[in-house]
Amino acid sequence: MSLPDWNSLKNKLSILADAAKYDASCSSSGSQRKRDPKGMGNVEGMGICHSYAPDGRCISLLKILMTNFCIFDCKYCINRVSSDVKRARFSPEEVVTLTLEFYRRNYIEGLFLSSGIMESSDATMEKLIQVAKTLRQVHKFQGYIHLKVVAGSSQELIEEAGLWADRVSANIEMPVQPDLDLLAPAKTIDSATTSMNQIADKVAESKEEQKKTFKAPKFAPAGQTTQMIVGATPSSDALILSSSQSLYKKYGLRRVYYSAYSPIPHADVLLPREQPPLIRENRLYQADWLLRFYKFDASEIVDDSSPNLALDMDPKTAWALRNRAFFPVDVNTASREELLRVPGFGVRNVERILQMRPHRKISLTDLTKLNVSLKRAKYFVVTSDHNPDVLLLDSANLKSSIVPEHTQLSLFDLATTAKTGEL
Amino acid sequence: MSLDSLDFEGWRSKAREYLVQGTLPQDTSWGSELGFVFESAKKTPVTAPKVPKEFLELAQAVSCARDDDRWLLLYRLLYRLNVENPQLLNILVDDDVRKAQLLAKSVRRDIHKMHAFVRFKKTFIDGEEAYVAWHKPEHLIIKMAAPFFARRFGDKPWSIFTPDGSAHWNLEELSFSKGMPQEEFEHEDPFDEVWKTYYKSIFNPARLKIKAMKAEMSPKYWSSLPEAEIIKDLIRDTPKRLQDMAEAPKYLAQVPTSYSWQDLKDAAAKCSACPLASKATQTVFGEGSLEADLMIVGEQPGDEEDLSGKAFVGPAGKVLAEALEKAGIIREKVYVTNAVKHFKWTAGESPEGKARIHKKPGGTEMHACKPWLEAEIALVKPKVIIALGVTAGTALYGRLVQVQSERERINTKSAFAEALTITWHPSAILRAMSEEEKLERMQNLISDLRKAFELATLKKLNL
Ligand code: SF4
Repeated sequence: MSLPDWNSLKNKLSILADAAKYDASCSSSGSQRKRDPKGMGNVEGMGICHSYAPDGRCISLLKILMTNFCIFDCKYCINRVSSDVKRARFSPEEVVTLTLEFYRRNYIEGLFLSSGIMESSDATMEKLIQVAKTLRQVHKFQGYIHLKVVAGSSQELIEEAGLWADRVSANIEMPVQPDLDLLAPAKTIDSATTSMNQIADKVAESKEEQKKTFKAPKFAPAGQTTQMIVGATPSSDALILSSSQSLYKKYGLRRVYYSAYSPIPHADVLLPREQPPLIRENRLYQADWLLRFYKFDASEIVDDSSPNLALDMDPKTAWALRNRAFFPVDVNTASREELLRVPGFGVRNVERILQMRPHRKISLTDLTKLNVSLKRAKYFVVTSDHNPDVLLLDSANLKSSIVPEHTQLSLFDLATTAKTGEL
Repeated sequence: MSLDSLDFEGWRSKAREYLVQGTLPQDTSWGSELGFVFESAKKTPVTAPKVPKEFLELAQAVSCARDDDRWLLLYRLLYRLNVENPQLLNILVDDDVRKAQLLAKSVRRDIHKMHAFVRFKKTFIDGEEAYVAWHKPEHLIIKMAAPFFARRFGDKPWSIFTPDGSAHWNLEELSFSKGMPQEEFEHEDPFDEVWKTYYKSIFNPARLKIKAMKAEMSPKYWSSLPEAEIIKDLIRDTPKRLQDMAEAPKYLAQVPTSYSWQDLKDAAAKCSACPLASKATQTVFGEGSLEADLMIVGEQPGDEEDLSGKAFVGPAGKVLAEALEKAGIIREKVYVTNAVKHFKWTAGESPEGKARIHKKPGGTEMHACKPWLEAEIALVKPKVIIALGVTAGTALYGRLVQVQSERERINTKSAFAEALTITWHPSAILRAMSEEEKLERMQNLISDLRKAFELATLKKLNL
């Protein structure tokens, strides 16, 4: 391979990585690939974050755009046709080289490739596919590849992309069509969900084939995800979560990423100048976690009477305060589902409690040793010993005991739960 | 006590010996000077020691911990498992179990971080491409962590050096040797600069969270991470970058909320939301029937429009008038306006320097001015809108439109009207390269206008 001109590559990289940083998806997990004896790279299920940016976000993939030229004029996007940013374009070979050189030095788990739309959706999608195909076929690269579906790509191309990539995904961008009409008039929820549907069908089909014969090609084994921008329009959390819930149900999505709209240079005037509080994004991740792992229904978390998540407490605590009749839960006898609804009990803590229960009566001190957040949990549980705080369950000022009015929100806590969402 | 005095296998055989003799944990010794055993009275010999699988997994991880008491802790657990309670490992709140779990967790995390933070440098050894890295783990994990790299990068030789031991891959097998202090590791890789460029660009200054970064990428690992060198600068520059972003000029026309067409026009006449107003003579607002079913949207006023204050009166306006007439449309029955309401121009280079040369409005002006267009649309509520040329098309379609290929298509997805369509801007006809092209485009314009008008006047749009 002839050495490319590093300086020109660096210039393009600074433009095309900069433009890609607003996409929140970064995970590289959920796939398995063994190294090809003649090539390099593998995927071992769990993704690895190879670095962290000063914004606390994990860097696990080379996340870039093929180009930031775009014929679309989506207002929340820095690459829209009417923005005055510097433009650049990678050739497929350049992306291949960068991926291999980065991967070889153990900087990354693989590639996350997206693009502005050049002449047409399909022409652009073909370029992305070419990169993935070259990596796999010519270089025998078995690292992780995530391709973003260019809005409006045809079914054939989506199907081809899934043959080479671990994950193929389409961004929904906004929870409802009127939001898109306002900010991205050329995009439709319909076209995004059509892509999702095509991916989901193909994933299911390939799983069936796999059952019959091991040689059947895998299609996007890591499944699909999507991203929704939050806070650029006045849409409520109720709208956002019910839209997520239906995406999970209909298309078997692995994850919905919420990206608090981030003020961008050259922002359109229609957009809020201020960043919506990052805590809202965090609360959405927590609520989303409740949907996926705690079997909550979106309507239990937010509804018409309180369409937005409380910012001063996590959604599970908020639910518990509204549903006190459900409590107290007896730590020594309750079911897994019941335990999962206790504020401060995470999935892992619940597993630990269940593991210990046959061998030991569980006391309050035991809960501390398991690192349960007693500050939140103690009002809602009965333990083997005397728990005086549970008597406060029906008291009028329970809320202020759990969430003292002047607690400083710890950004650190936020950042960690934002990653896992676990409560 | 030296940390290297024993390894896991050594501990296992020693532990078995102790156990068979029934030695109490407090009577064992795990230092390098092993061998002296108290003759304790309370011995309970374990003739057939049981070692559950979960214990082995736990113990293997704990054995890598940089903790002087780990061998004793492991023996105590093993002893209690055999003598006291075979279910001990399930009592997660037991002090010994908990300590072992915490150590194991810390070790596993350290292994994970090693997989993440090793930064290979490309080098050539005897002309052959090879990769080397220096990394400082917290625990003694090199043997447990190295196989990962062999699975992933097995097609090239590599070495990883740590202060406590080094791992080497020669394409066939892993071998281990003694450690190396950081000062002795002298490899450099110019490619680190490319990585730093990436790191810098992917950071979003609007979300600075230093603590979160440090929690995941502890400064104890930073000395071998090339990107760590620029973290300070990135953090220092953040406030300025945010300020620059906030101060970047943003323009938006302020449209009155309750209005008639006259109010709108009057308000627009005073608009100075964007810099165009200061150079232009006056605002050129749209006009026509407020009941119109068809709205025609052009780009922006030109020189003559700017002087007269009326839309489409210059050369392009004449072309439009002719096309409308040939299409059989009475201009007063439609509404005609522009996407941008002020004339944008630069001074020409004529001797008198008087010529004002039309300049295409940019995205900034288009967005700034759009509320006026939207207000006109909301007032007139046309069934069909036809955009003349790319600028008007972009404003209405929300994407770059190609007149040539899209002019006969009817867009029904628009939030602005039931149908949206596009055709040539009259000035594209004036600028046509040949007579032939001119004629063709003129015919296109006429037929597109006629179709749009017919569509608009149909009783019920049936698309
Ligand atoms: S071009 Fe439009 S936004 Fe700018 S000053 Fe004129 S009327 Fe206002």
